[in-house]
Amino acid sequence: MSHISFSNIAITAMVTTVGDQIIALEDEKERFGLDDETVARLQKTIGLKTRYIAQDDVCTSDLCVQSAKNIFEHTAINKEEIEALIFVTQSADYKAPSTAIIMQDRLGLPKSCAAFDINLGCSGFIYGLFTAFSYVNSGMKKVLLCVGDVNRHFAGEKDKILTPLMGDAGSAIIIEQTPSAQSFFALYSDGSGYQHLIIPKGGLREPSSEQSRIPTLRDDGSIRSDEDLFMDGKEVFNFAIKTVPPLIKELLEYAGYENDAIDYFVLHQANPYILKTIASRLKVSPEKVPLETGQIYGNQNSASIPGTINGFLSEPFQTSDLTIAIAGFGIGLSWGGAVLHTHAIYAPKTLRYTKDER
Amino acid sequence: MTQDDFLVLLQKEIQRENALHVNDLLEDIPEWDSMAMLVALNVFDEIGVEVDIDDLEKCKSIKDILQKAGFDA
Repeated sequence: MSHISFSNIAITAMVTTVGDQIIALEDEKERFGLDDETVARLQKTIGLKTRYIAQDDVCTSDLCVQSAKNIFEHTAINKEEIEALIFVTQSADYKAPSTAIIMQDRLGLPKSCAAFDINLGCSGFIYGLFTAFSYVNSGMKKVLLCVGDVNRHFAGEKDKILTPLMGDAGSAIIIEQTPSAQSFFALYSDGSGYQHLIIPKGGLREPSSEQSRIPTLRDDGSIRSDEDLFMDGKEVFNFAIKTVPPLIKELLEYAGYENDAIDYFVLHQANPYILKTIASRLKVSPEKVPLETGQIYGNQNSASIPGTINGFLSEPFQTSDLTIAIAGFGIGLSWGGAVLHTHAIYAPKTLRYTKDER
Repeated sequence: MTQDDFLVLLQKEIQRENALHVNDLLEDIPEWDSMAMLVALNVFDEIGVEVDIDDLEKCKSIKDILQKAGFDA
């Protein structure tokens, strides 16, 4: 797509809620069949420490509803002015209808509010944000964007390659008309790589069967079924380091900014080595590229960019005017980025899920 | 960065106790796995050489790695 820019539209609130169970990697070594040496290496090399996951009866929408309620309770944002609710997730409450419609009622949003789901993973925040900016640009007052995933929906319970990396989170973000400098977006897709990150069976193309639901030991050493998420780590890593640095460079060029003009590069938190490699290739100082989210909370899929802001950058986002570059990349293959301005937004520290919010 | 500096850094980053030598075969280095390749990419980037995992997978020896890094191994 060509690059798109918007004027006088910005994020004004952002809240992230994570699952309430904190699990340390060493506590899961039996479950994943990891020996002490491998655990030590994962901790030292990739920096894996903990991940926050939701209880078995908690859905992604529950995390997002808690986040959205927090915004309505702590800001002057009027629910009646929300004209669209967009929910980006791969872990919907039901196969149908769209979860966003149920969330409209749970949140007490007006019936005049458009509500729908977008099925995307790690690029999803950028796509959702672009959609929200477009709706506000077309005249809507305020849009509520919710993003996130609860990973037990698709990550194999004993998959030692993928599951130890994953965390559960749901973010709510308000986008509205407000005085702000131009924002810039670019979105990309490459369906030729769809098999590198995929739940191969259980859809219409390859329906669910007794066999497709049985977890088995795979060539890569993981135990998973054909209805669990598969990731070809090498392909995804190569995809990320080949696409994200050029994406950020072209966005900065389009926006007319040098690296120095960007306060933070908030990237999808796939793993710290991808982020370090991207930062190095962009020639930006490491302190501008937060990379701790995956190590503390786990990979939060579409919520990992807001999850990083709420988790580690709450103070500067709440007190300062910032210019940021963001990028999401992953399943699809799908990727996108934006250069945005934020103006002392409501962005409290990450919340932990509390059941009474349901 | 000299070739020796590069090898010391690579050894440290892949968390290998023993020194790496130009004639070592990667198949004889138990620490050299997919995780080590991620680490190695950062070491390459530190010296300003961009490679990807495919490039590293083609390497059979430390000599191949050094040549990829631009040293006359």
